[in-house]
Amino acid sequence: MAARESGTAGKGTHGIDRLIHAPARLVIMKTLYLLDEGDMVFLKTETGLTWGNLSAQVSKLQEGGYLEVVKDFVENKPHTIIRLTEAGRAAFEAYRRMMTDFLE
Amino acid sequence: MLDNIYKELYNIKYKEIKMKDKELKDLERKLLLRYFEDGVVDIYIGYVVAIFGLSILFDMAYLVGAFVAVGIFIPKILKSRYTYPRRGYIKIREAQRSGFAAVLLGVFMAGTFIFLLFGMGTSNPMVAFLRANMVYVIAVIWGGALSVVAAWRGIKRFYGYAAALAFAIIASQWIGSMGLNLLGSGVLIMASGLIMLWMFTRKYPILREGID
Repeated sequence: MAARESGTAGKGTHGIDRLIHAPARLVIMKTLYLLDEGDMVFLKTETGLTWGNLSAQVSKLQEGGYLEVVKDFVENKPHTIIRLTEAGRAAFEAYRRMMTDFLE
Repeated sequence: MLDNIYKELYNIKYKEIKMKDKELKDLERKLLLRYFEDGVVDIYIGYVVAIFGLSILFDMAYLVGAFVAVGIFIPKILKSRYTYPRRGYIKIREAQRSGFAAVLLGVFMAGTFIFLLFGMGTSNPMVAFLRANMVYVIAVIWGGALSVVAAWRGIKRFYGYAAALAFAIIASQWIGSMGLNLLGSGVLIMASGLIMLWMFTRKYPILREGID
């Protein structure tokens, strides 16, 4: 867990961060990178994932220390706000650089 | 020779990085553009313009501040009621919010500049010129502010609002009055925003978290 939170356990071949590399998680990371925060409804409309899949991918990124998740209730309905942590933002930037270099 | 090669390589890399940053910026722009399709900002702009028109028409300039301050809650209420349940909630990045503040500050400073300019007396040829062309100055400030937002956010319909508003202000020299034309333009912009909001609610159903 500690290694995962530091972002080292997710490193795969050529140092590519596997935690971000999965398409669904990459879309989530990219979308949140452009914002301060967003909720689950927004991520659902942007990613097109099912609720179950979206929830699972968000949990994985949260476990990796890349996302901060705040659960709340609005008018007795669940409302989840998600934002990138500093580590998540740095990891996404590193991933971008890594992929750019790798593909060249 | 080697220096030139290094410089060339550096330039290529620099351009690539810039291009990728641009791609991300384009993505950000598209993301936010989708978020402006609900017409809520249009309704607020129309409201502000209409309030200015009413204040001139009924000579109650002292109420402008109060009405505009109350109106600040309009986007928040409409977004919470109609947009967030359909497209979700987002908080745009600090840099973007600062940009909005910069546009507002720009308009405020332009207004202050004109106010100060008028305090200088008519002997100043610049003041005399601006006084003689006051209608055009106001048209440029309103139209310019909306055009800046249009260019910055890539919201093309704002160019239309800017042109319509500038035209309405300039036309007040011959048709109607400044107050009436501002009120009319504001109501039209609000109507356009309301139509967009209605279409938005028809296009996107309400989503409940966790329910497919």
